[in-house]
Amino acid sequence: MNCAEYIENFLAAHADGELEGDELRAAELHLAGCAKCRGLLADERALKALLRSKVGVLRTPAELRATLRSALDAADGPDESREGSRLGRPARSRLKLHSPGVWVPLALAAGIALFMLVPRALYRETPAMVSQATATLQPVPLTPGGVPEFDIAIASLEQFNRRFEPNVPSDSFGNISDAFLRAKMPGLVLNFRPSGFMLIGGRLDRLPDGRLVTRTYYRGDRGVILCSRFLAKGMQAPPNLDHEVAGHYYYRYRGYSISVSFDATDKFVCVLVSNVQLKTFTRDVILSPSGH
Amino acid sequence: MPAKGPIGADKRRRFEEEAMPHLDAVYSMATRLARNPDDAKDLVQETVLRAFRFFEQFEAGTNCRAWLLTILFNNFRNGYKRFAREQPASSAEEFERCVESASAQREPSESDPAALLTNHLLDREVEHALDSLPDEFRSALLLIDVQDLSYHDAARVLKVPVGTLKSRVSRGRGLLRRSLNRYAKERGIIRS
Repeated sequence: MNCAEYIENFLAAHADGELEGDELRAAELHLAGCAKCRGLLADERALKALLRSKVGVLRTPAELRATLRSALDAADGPDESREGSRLGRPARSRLKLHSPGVWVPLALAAGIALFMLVPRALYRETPAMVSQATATLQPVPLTPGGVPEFDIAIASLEQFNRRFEPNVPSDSFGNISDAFLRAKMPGLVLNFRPSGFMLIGGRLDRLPDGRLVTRTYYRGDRGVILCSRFLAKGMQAPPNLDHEVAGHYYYRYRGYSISVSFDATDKFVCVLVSNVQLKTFTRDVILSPSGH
Repeated sequence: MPAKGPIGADKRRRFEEEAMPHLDAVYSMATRLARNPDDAKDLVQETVLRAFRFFEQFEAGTNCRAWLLTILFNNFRNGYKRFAREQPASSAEEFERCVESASAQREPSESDPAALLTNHLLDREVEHALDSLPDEFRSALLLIDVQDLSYHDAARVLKVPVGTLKSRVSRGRGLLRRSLNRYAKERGIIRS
């Protein structure tokens, strides 16, 4: 492959994480010996990052949401109207789960559980049985005045660095996504391959308070990344923010880099934790497309 | 009116759970396509109601955002004249001529993605550069770079082969890069 072929046929797809198999190997072989094309790939990724950061997803205005809900109620008949109103009502009591006052007793009462390990086949065959899983308890030291979600994410990352075993089918982004969706969890699986991190696998576990959490674990030459998603249940972005880019809130916490983001309806929160330096990690997150 | 049955209730619940979380993505794309807030709201409403009406056709477990954006693009194409109040350059060639005439050619410096991400001076320029692209390229970049769709899903939204989508992404980035050179050389965002 020469430079012209790479630029014409591979560059954009490479930056987008869309190359696989022989194409990916051929592209990487060319890049290994071509500084010019490595620079072009970096530029392509920079352009993607620029677009994502400057042309982000807009918040739907509240009045439009209300109009849509009314329109759906009308389209759905009188009884659906009541159902729609109920579904659309904000939670009456929103716990601020980064408050230690909530989390410490919760963690203690739960035996400070980190995981509820479930046989892999359970998820393949009967995902509805997730709730029947039994727990393997492991202590999670909570930082006084800290953010329990961060402590749990860091403890998980450190455990996975020692040993990671997927408990959902993890031979592709799609299979992991399907397993999460079957458990009624978000199917979004981030792809950090453009930044040099390989997806190792996925897990479905439970937080100390019983909420399901999806986890995807990535490794690369520069470090490791763990992505956790769980129901936000009123969680807000913790204080002591370092910076915010395109809806991701970034923190330095106990020597780790952490990103917090919420989905469009604030229903689920995504916590990313990594041992990569924060500025670089910010770029890695912005460059990561979804992998399915 | 007949009472709502369990099937209808389940449909509404599933729609709330699976489709409505993608509302911001739909609204964002509608705003970019329609280029006018009122038209964008109309487009969103048409899309959401149509998606709800045909929600049985959505395959559970597939990409719901891509499915909604497909409906959005269909609605946009069908109401194109209504939404097309302000159009960008109609072809890549015309666009390139516009950029050439406006661009003062100077050598850019080295790239620094981290620096450009924290630089807030370019928001308007980037949006303008993107909005100035011919629609076929702009749509491809919005779906891939902003909406994070895969090539496969974006190609389905735009009703084009994956190869065509791939080509539009590549060409669109090239055009966008040239346009941004006009704004961004001094910030070192893009090499020649």
